[in-house]
Amino acid sequence: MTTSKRQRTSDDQAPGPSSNNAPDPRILARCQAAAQLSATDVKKLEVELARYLLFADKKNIPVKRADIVKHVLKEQPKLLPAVLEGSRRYLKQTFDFSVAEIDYNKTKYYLLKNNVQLPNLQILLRPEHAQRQLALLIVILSFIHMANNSLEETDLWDSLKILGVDRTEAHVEFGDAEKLLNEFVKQMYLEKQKVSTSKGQATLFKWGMRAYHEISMADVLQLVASIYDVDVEVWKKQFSSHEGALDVD
Amino acid sequence: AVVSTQSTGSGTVDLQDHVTKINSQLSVLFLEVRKGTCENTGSKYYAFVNCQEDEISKLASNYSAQDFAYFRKMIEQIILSDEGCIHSTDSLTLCNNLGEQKKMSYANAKVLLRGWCNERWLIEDRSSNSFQLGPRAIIELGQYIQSAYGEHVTNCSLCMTVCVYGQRCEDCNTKFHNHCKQRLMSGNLDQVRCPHCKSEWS
Repeated sequence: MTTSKRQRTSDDQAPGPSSNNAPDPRILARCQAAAQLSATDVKKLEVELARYLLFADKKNIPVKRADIVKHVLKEQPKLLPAVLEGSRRYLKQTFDFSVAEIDYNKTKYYLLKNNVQLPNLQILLRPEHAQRQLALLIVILSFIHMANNSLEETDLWDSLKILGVDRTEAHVEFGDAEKLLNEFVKQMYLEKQKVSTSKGQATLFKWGMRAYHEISMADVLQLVASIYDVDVEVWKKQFSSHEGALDVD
Repeated sequence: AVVSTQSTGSGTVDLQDHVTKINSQLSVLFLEVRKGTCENTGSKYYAFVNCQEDEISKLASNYSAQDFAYFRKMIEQIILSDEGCIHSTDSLTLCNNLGEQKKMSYANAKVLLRGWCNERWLIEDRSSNSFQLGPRAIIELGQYIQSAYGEHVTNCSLCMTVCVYGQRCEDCNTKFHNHCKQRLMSGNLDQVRCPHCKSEWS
């Protein structure tokens, strides 16, 4: 899947492979400069950060820089760049995961990315109920995209109701649909924005920071086009909105 | 994640080789791919487990303190029971007795139970309307069960690992996993004898 360049992201450039598991001497030097740490201490931090990122990934919520500093680095933010580099090495060597760093709202977030080449495999590796939730998410994202990335809450629910997902009734698969949507917001796939309009307060749904990062708008538009059995170019506005932003991998 | 395997001759040897290689990389992160067998179906499973309970892993869980209390009560009841399972109705009444935690609603308990069955912590046996320990519980908590409930649990006399759900010989009182006994007895349908004391199996 291609990613849009909307948010500044930097993936890791992992240092060269190491034959043993001792910390990289440069990393060690930097950590020792920032705080009096032995090689064992540094390795312990690298392992803990790697574990922290793995467990956070399991919960599917992007990790804030502040949380890393608090829970792993015990309030020593200077250690982060060096320790992160070491953790990246473990994650890359063991799982072929890379750690993506995303800036959003003046906060840095960290996400694990699976470098497995087959995109379908990435989806199939998730548990079944998660796959179905992902399907609902894609549908919601397509609604928002077709509304030029700003869809009123009431309109969204009207559209979902047509598909049998009701805000007020428990869905046979998704349960409390509103709760699920709030989960998506927490996971940063969707964004909720409160605005004042002439008619009063309204809530708008937009693509979340993470949706931009992980899902391609072009793919979503292609999906809609295939459902309507037309060419993608039919929707000129949406098509041009992301044409210039595509990464060609 | 818990994955079931099908062993097919040389295929198994290769898989185990791979797992061993993977584990040599995982060990530095205190993670492991561990093998186990489901006590209910006899199917073999691999599970990706965390080997170190620390601050970091505690942050990972989606469950509340109350959920944990209920889970601990469930597995305790199953382990301490004679049959290695707990009847569905009894599993619900446990909600009322969570010690320090306040009572849980039956509806909430049902949702949790369903989730734990999905994750293979528990298995629901529809025919007997009861819950047993699932392959994930056996694989991840095997050592914990041994150390916390040592006096109350017996090992299977055939494979020498913890046996919570299985059969017991009435004469010599030894316990066996259904699948362990099955493997031994296959082909000898008329002479069903206890593998340990050789008396006729009733």
